[in-house]
Amino acid sequence: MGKSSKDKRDAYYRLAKEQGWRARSAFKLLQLDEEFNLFEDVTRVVDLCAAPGSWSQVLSRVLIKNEQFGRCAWEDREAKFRQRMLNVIPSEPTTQEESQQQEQKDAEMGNIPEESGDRPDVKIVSIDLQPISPLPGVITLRADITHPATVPLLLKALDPCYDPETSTSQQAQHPVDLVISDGAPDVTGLHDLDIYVQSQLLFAALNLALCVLKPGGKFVAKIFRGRNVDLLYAQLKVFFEKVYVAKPRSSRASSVEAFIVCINFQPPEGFKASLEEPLGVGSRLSELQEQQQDPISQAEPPKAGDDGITEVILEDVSGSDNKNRWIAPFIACGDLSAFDSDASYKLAADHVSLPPVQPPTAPPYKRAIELRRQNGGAYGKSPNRCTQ
Amino acid sequence: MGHLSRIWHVKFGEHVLCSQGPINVYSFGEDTTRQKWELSLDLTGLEGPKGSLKHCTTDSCHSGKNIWSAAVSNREGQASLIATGGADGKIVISGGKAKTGTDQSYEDFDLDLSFVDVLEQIQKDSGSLSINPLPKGSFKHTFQKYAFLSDSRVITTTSPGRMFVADIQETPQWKEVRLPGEVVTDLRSYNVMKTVASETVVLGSAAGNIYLLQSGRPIRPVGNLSGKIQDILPLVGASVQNWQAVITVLGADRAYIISYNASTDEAKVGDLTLSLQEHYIPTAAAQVGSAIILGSRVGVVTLYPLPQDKAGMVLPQNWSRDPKTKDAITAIVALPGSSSNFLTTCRDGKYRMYTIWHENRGFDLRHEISPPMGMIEGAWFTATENPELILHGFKGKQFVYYNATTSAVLASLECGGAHRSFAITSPRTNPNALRLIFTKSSHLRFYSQSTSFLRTLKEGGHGREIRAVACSSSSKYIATAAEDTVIRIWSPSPTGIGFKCLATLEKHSSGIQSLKWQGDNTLISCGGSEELFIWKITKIDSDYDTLAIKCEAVWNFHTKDKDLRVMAFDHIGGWEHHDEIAIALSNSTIQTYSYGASTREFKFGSEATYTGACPTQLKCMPNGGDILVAYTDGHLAIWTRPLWDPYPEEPIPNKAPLSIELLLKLHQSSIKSLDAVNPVDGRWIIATGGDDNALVITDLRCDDDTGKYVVNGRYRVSSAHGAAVTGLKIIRDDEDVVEVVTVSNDQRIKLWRAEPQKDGQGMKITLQDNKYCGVADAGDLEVIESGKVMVGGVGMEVWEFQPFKWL
Ligand SMILES: C[S@@+](CC[C@H](N)C(=O)[O-])C[C@H]1O[C@@H](n2cnc3c(N)ncnc32)[C@H](O)[C@@H]1O
Repeated sequence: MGKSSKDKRDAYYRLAKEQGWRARSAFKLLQLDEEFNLFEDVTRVVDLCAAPGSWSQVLSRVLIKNEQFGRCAWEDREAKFRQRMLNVIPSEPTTQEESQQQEQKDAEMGNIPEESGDRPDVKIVSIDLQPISPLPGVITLRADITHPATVPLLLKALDPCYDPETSTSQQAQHPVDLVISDGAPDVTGLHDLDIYVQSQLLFAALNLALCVLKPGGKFVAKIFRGRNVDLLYAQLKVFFEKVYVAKPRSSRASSVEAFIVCINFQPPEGFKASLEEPLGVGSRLSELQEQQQDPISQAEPPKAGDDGITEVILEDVSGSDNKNRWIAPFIACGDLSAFDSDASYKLAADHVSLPPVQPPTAPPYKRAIELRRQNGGAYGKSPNRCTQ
Repeated sequence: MGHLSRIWHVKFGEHVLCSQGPINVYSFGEDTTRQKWELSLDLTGLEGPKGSLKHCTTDSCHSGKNIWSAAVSNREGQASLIATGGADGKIVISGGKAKTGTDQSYEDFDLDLSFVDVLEQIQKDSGSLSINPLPKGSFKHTFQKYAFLSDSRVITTTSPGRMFVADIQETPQWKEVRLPGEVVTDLRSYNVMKTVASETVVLGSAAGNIYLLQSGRPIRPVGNLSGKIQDILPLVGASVQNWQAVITVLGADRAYIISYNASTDEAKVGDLTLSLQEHYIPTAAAQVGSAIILGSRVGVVTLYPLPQDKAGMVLPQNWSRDPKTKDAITAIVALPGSSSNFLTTCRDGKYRMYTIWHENRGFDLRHEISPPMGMIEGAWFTATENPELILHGFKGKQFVYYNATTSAVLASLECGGAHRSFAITSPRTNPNALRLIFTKSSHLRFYSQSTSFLRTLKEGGHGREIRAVACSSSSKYIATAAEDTVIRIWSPSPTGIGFKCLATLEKHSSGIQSLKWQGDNTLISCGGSEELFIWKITKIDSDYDTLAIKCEAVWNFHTKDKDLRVMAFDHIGGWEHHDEIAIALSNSTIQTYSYGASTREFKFGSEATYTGACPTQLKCMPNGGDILVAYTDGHLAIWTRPLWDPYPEEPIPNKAPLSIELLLKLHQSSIKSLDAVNPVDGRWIIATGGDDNALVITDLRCDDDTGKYVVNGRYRVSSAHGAAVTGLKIIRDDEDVVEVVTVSNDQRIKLWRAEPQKDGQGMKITLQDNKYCGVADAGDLEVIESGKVMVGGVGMEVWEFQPFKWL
């Protein structure tokens, strides 16, 4: 695939380069934030599986530099225009003047440094197996999040006075407001294996989050929606008041990727995070689930009504066993005028394809696999479905 | 050397006593190869155990697909059996000891001999340096042409003009063929040699001389044609006793037939000739029924009536106007048990089947397929009860020997690439055994196998996720299309369990998105790289049980970079001379085309662009042309346009502009599956499944007065599945009950019942059944017969259900 061809096929790839992001994933976090206000009142954050670091870039620019990114960072103006025309979205501005004002407003929403000057109270720690090039105000660690030795490393980075020798606790002294994880394994193409490894990464992120998150904090992580994902949703629900499964528009509809957004950390009474007894193996989680009063009630007003679709109260006569299973409500993020990550776009006649901000960090054998893919090998000739 | 990727498995193979020899080790990697290593261990050293690993071979056992599982037997002193399971769903076995003892068994050897090696062997046995005169001066000693006189006797010509023959007794035993001096001189530097019948080869020289060489008899000149002999093409399918061959002469306006008369032991050269069109260079010949078929160097197939007289020139009667290739035809064979159907192989990597019309009035292309080979050099049918088609040719640097009926690679040998002299033979009833002789870097390589390197234990299917499943009108065939760019046609297996793969269609160059049948004989497929193909699928009357498949038309209204995906299409309607179809492209546009029944051409009709969002599904309402399109933004649009001319005389496309008649928001994000039914006149039920885990039922009616669509209601089950709802079919559409089956990436298959409430307000939806489905990453769902649906994804699964459970 030629460079320009990828720009056409993937609007977010092109936007990322134009806006200086190290990866197109930046838009996923920005769009998640737009929906869930993730960064509100947040000063301390842990970014897991962060390389090449576009999420950390977002954190650094939003939290430290106080920049704001609005819709217009990913808005497809032409689409918006056509949407108004086709009545996909209500056509607000009627006069030309108004529409100019609207545009002005839209433009302002994008990337405005509110106050100049860094915020000193902000703490961002980013971890990955791969090295992450330095970013202003971000502590980067190279470690494996599934390894128990990473806990003291992380605690030390968060609290320089933490001493793993003397400390008996694996709980952060000064816990954080937000833990995010975009971790993904190098997919093999064997579905069961990929989904299992992804869920293990999710558990590793959760186990770390349980050590460092403060009550009321938030946890966001990549999830593959595959077999038994409803078990995972239910398990996360043990620790958080609200759990959603969210799909930013910048994440391809054709990929199994989605993000779990967990809000208001409420560890069960008496729960102590411990990497000696991690969740995800053994029976600890299911015991916790048993103790929970009402595992699946989530007082969530059905979103119905506002879009004119009637939410049906379902009657289940199938007799299937739904114990410990629960389906988190789905929320699409990034408004409708966002670029569509599945569509092909036309490029301006004078379009110049920019080089990537940072070459992707990839293990050496990736090249061999890439070559084989081009030759129509194990994956067929189509591009890989799991996007970064 | 070694794997280019992550390694999935390492297994110990056969060994003799540990201390006495190396242990075989097999490794299996993400680069889809299986590699064999020799591990030598020294456990006696003073500094502790030492070992070394030597790389032996690299093999691909699942035609380039991932090897997910492997088992190796390692009983001491016994050749290991290596079993692998691949992403192609196949289980294959290799290694072990071949079963021997049948009459037609071949030995296993692989020899690499230089000219000197062969000479030395001859000298050792005969004691003399050369029985034929050596050319004067220094001369390059190379092998030139090869031909098998029989299963166990092979002959080679050489640049000095000498000929060697080898009898195979376990290994080849070389001897020199005694030749008159003038023949040696005549054959020096240039000659052609072909096997024309059992124990018989014909040779030709630059001077135009033709020689006949039969086993155990001296060579004899049988004629001279003025000009350099270019090729000798055995007339495949002619009488075995009184064989014939076509001889081509450089620059000649005709080809010469050599006919052998077994009773008089005479060969007549050139009494009969075939007139050639200008610049026509024949490269293959066969007799099919009462016709001689020639194939040319530029792919033209020509039909001659079988000559009635013993002498004279025969004029061509018909030739292919649209040969579909510019590459050489390499072989022609009649289909077994048929006097009107034949097959050609071509250097363009395809093989084709044709049917000759009554009284040789012409012939039609019926079948055109690309097996996984780059160039096909030859074909034959096994002489078994159910004949199988065996091909050989080149793919890259490999020589490939392939069973096209079972899609099994029977042998694959690194040979250095195409364009080399070679000869091949195989027992007619056992295609797994093979002898192959060829030149590689001026050495002679002689390979013989008793059985195929890989034995298929279980047939496979697609190498990647199935994206579309479509059942033909009468449920005769099921077609599946996958990310591996391949379409497969299946029919219920004769055993009643599972399905039999009847054909694989390899023409798409990227992942396939959608697939639909028109009746039982037309299949349409679309996908990435702006590809949309119309396939004709028929049966040919012969003993070879196969489907005849050809791509009848290619949609070719491409953009400059040809990088859009054709996401979906549907048939709008059919008229006497043309059909209309609608397609959806990834750049948010839909387009309509007419397709001429006899012109087989597309003509552009109209086009409309949506917001920029990518369309995912397209379905035509059977009411004269309204088009339902679902998008990644969760909306469903009904596009409409005025009818142009309801009964056009000619295939004129409808050029009327398209406009959105109705636009409905149904899902939060991409609509992944869609079905629509028309239970009673003027009423529509549309069911959609989304990436948002939801199932939505939309109840529409057509207003009698205005003719516009009116929404009775949209009803949503928000968490219908734990993941995207990727497959959906309405399986029952009574006036008061609709039943829907859904599948999802959460690997659940669910049966829903929706009942519109009496007052016309609201919809009652119940979940009737909820089962675990073994197919991961399901891509589509199709009703294959009443009460049965097939799920396609990573593999396929059939579900039977009782739709009318409560009645
Ligand atoms: C999709 S990328 C993350 C992209 C990142 N959020 C950004 O915006 O640039 C996934 C990352 O997960 C990392 N990863 C996978 N397994 C890991 C593990 N066990 N520990 C730490 N990082 C891991 C990979 O190295 C990879 O860089």
